[in-house]
Amino acid sequence: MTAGRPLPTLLVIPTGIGCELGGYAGDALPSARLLAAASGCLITHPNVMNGAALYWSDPRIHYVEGSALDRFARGTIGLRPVRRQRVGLLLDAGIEEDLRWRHLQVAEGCRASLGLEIGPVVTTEAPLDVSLSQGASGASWGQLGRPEVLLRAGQQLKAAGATAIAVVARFPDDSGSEALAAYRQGSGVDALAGAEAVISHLLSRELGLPCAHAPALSALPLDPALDPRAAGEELGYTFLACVLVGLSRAPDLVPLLPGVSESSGLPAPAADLLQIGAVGAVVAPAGALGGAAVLACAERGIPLIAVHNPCVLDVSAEALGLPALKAGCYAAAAGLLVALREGISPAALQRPLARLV
Amino acid sequence: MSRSAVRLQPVTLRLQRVPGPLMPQIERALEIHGDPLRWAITGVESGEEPLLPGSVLLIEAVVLA
Repeated sequence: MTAGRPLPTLLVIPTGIGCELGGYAGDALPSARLLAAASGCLITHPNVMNGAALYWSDPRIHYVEGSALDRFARGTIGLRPVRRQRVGLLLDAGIEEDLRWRHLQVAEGCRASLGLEIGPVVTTEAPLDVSLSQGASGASWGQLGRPEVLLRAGQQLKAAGATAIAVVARFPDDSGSEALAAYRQGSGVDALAGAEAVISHLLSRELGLPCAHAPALSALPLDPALDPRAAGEELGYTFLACVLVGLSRAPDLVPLLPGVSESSGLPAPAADLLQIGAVGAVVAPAGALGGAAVLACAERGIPLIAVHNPCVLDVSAEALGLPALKAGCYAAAAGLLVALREGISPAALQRPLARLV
Repeated sequence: MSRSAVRLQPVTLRLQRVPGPLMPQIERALEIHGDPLRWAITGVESGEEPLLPGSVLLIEAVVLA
C-alpha cells in the first residue's frame, strides 16, 4: 500500500464505556486490521482484539494488556516481538466442573489445531469472588474479593515457566438483567469489562508478563435478535480462544532503565525493541481521551487522532486542551495514518486551507 | 506487594486542574488514597478555557490500599 517505513501506532478503545465500535465482542477487529495495514505496526490492547470465539492474528499487530500499554506509553517498558509465548492457564477455583472442562478443552483445541504452546494449568486456592459495579459516569468497574489469591496463582505459573498468562475468572451470572439485555441488543455498556481490567492490570503489574482475561459464564439462551457486534460471545461455551491466540505472540515486556544515556556504558537496546519514542500516532475515541496511555502520548507530543466513536463519556480534546486530528470514522483515521506515514501534512488534505500570512 | 494484604479500593475524585501536564496532577491526587491500579478521567467540568484553573476533572479509579 505504501513504500514508507512502518509508523508504529497505538490504538486505544477503552473497555467498559459502551463504545459504539469496539464495545462488544471484538467488533473493533476490522478497524484494527485496517489501521495495522495503514501504519505497518499497530500496538493495541485485548479489548480491541478479543472476540471470544473469534480472533485474528496479524504479525503487524502487537497484543498488549491495558496497563502494560499505559507503561509502554510512559516509557517505562519496551516491547520485544517473540515467535511464541508459553501461555500458562490460570483458572478460578470458583468455576464449576463442567465449565472448567469446557475451558480446558478450548486450550487443548488451541494446542492441537493452532499449534499454540499452552501450560501449565494452575487453579487458584480459593474462588476469586468477582463483583461488578458501575461508576458515576456509567463506566463499568469491578472488584476481586481475594486479589492475593490471584497473585499467588500467577506467581506459581511464572515460576513454572509460563511466559504469558491467560486468566479465567468466574463472573456472576445475571441473565435477566437489563444491562445484559441492552448489551445483547447493541446498546449499553459491557458490565464485565471493569472487573476484567482490574484482574489483568493486577497480574500484569505484579508479574511483568503479557496477561489477558476471559470471563467464565454460563451459556445464555438463544436470542434471534442478538446484535451482530455481540455475536462472537455467544458462539461457544467460553471466551478463551481469542485470549490464547492473542497471548501466543504477545510481545515480551522489557523494563527500561530510567535516565540511561548513551554515555552510560550500558549496552544499547536490541534493534527489535519497540519503544514509545518510535510511536508516530495514537488513535482513540474522541470522547474518551482521559486514559493514561492517551495522556502520556499527548504529553510526549505524539499526534493524537480522535475518532468519532460515541460512548458514555464526553472527555474530548477540547475539554482537556489537547491538540488532535479529527476523524469521522476509523477508515478516515487510516487515511490520516497513511498521511503521517508518508510525511504528508494532514492540514493539506483539509479545506479550507488556511494561508500562512 | 504483600501476598496477604492486597485490598482494592474504588476512588472517585474531583480534581481542580492547574496549568501543566495532567498525568502528574492526577497521580499525586490518587496516591493520597493508595497505589493507582487503574484510572481514567470520566468527565470534565470546564471553566471558560480548559487550560486555565477552574476546570474540574472527574476521575474514577481503583487503587491498591
